[in-house]
Amino acid sequence: MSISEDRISHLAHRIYDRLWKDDLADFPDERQSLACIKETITAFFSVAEEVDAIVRKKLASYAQAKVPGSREYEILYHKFHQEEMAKRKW
Amino acid sequence: MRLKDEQISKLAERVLEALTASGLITLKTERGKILDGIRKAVADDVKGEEDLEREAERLLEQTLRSMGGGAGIDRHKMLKMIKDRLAKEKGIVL
Repeated sequence: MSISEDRISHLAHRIYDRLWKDDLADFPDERQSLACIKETITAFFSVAEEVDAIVRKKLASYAQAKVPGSREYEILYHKFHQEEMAKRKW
Repeated sequence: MRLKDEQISKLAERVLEALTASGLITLKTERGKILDGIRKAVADDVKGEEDLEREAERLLEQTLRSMGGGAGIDRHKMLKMIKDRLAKEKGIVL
């Protein structure tokens, strides 16, 4: 699950704008708040990418490898994905 | 970028936690509403990209049909080109 830096920055601005324009929150320092949101998004996708690779490798190593896209594959992918994310406390 | 609702919720929680822990946000309403706001911002953006992907796939099929099937064409590369062009036209950041 790769994501460009531009997209991360764009998403951070969308989140910031939504909270601010809908008057849900105030931000004492716009620049730092945006940087904080960007860092969190970057960390999220970094972990998600790492976990995705691990889960795909695990599924491919099965004696009876599951077919990507099949229901069985999706169920196992979801299960392993959740387990790996939980290990990383995400 | 494909994100399930569950992943969007997790991301929203992390963003709010990080902002709160750093003292970079002053909540003006209850936490649940803030999380909803973050979730909607991300979900709208993801939906925009999904709509773009669908349109790009439709255009690709149309183009390939007009080329008599498009044998020998790198489908993946062509889809990316169409997607990039549409994103530029619509001002969507990929």
